Amino acid sequence: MVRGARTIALAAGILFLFVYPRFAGAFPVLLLTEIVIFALFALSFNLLFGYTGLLSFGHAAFFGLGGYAMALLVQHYQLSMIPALAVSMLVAGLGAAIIGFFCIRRDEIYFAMLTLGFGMMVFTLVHQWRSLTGGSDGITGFEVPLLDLVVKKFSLFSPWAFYYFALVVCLLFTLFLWRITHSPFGLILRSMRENAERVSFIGIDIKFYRWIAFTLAGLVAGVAGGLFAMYDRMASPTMVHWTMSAKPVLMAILGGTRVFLGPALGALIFYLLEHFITQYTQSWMIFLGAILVPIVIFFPQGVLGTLISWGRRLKGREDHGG
Amino acid sequence: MEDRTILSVENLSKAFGKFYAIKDVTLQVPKGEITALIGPNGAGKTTFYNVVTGKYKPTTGRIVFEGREITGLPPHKTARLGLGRSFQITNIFLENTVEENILAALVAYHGRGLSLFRGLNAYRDLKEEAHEILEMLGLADRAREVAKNLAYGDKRLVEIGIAMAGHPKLIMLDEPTAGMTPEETDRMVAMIQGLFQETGITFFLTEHDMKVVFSIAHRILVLHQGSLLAQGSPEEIRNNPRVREAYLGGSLDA
Repeated sequence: MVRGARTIALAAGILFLFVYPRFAGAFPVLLLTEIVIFALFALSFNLLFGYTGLLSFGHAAFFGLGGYAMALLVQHYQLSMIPALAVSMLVAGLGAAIIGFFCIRRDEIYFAMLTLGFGMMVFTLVHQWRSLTGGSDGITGFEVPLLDLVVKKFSLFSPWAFYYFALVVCLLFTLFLWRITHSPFGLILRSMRENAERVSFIGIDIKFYRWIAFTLAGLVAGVAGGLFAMYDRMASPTMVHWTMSAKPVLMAILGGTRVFLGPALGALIFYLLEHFITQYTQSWMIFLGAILVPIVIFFPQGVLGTLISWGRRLKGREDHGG
Repeated sequence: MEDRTILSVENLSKAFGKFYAIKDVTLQVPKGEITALIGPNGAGKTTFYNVVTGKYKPTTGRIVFEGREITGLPPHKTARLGLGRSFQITNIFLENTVEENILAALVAYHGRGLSLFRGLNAYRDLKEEAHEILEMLGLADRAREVAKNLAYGDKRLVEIGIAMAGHPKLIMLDEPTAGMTPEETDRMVAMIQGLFQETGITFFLTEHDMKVVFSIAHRILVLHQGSLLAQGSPEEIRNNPRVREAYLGGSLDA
């Protein structure tokens, strides 16, 4: 029953994502593009947080690395969309492998502090290295590259074209993350979240596994960052700022960290709230805070996590009540 | 004699600052038997476990497991060599299901941990093996239950199951009956004896409950203030005056 409801909701959601923009104006499509990209960013963060038990405050470093790599590749080397995105992903993954090598040496608050520290270093580097990154101006003035599918080339200039491209990429990488979390590797990650020490006593080198998870999370964040730079027509230091690292944390907690799609729903809620609240006031963060606090206190499983456990309870009642 | 020994510890010491939690301990654990390590609180039993399984590095001394020196190897390496361990406090994966608790250990043992792209459900062999282990523990009908919802005694059985799933050659249980009701204790004792008879795995355990020790151990080692006070058959230990003194008489008569 719950599973059936979930399948229907999922199918409806995907159908909506594909059909609705065909009938929507440019603004909602742009908003939806940003939501889809941030959903992937938040999901990649949650591979570390919800699944491995590591709270990163520096995940924007890889989002930004992907974004800057993408902008530079497009501007200087005129790569087409897919190769540029692939290289950006690898750059972010390499960055994550290097930074992760140091961060995974500690866990809990120490891990969080290490990621925050490295995140700040990456931000400073991006901000100061003007000749490469354009400093606080960022990198702008490039054209969105063509999508070269060998048999045909597509322009991704229009918001609709870019949306569908971003949607497909994000869905593919969501599937990639889903696969990982449901593999034997994913079980080891979840076991580490529960009890890392015990995992080492079943013969697992926890640092190595954490490092792999960190690198994979960075890799996917790089894809999201690459897409975002193309969407925004710029790579700017805000992409690597620590406030950007806070976004996936908020989204994941809002939506639910223990449910695979929780962070994606969190991204949706985050943007819808931002969109509606900023119509009335500039200080929307106050309202976000006011919404976040009761969620954390009363619904620590997040919106999706809470909905699913309600569904389960309802089902239990049906089963018992006849 | 030498090849009958599965674990050999020579002049092992572990100091925390100036305090020696274990001091110059030399002992052998014979293969295919149940050996118990006893001693009053603070005798150094848990430290001994932590040094042997690699959680702590020893200050001095050697540890040889199955003819191979393992001194200072980290836990994930000693585990892979066949040194299984359970913990004094319940140390399982609470938010995962009972089946997943066992599966994690099986994934590790069978070297499937880096399999990223195949669903866990596709590993029928692992699932079957997990089912067998749960059956052995009498927990097969709780397989899909989230581990934190189990009764205390059942959680302790899951703990044993995780250790068993690693196909250990030597399994070291740290107070398997700690905090249990008499009924749970009886069930655990029967379980350990059953597993021992069925699998022939060498068991090593610490235990507070002397009734348990004398009913299942073939050999007993006595640790006192970090040093080995005595070793021998249950009969020898029962009649050893120094052991009686360390335990202030009474409790050995259980």
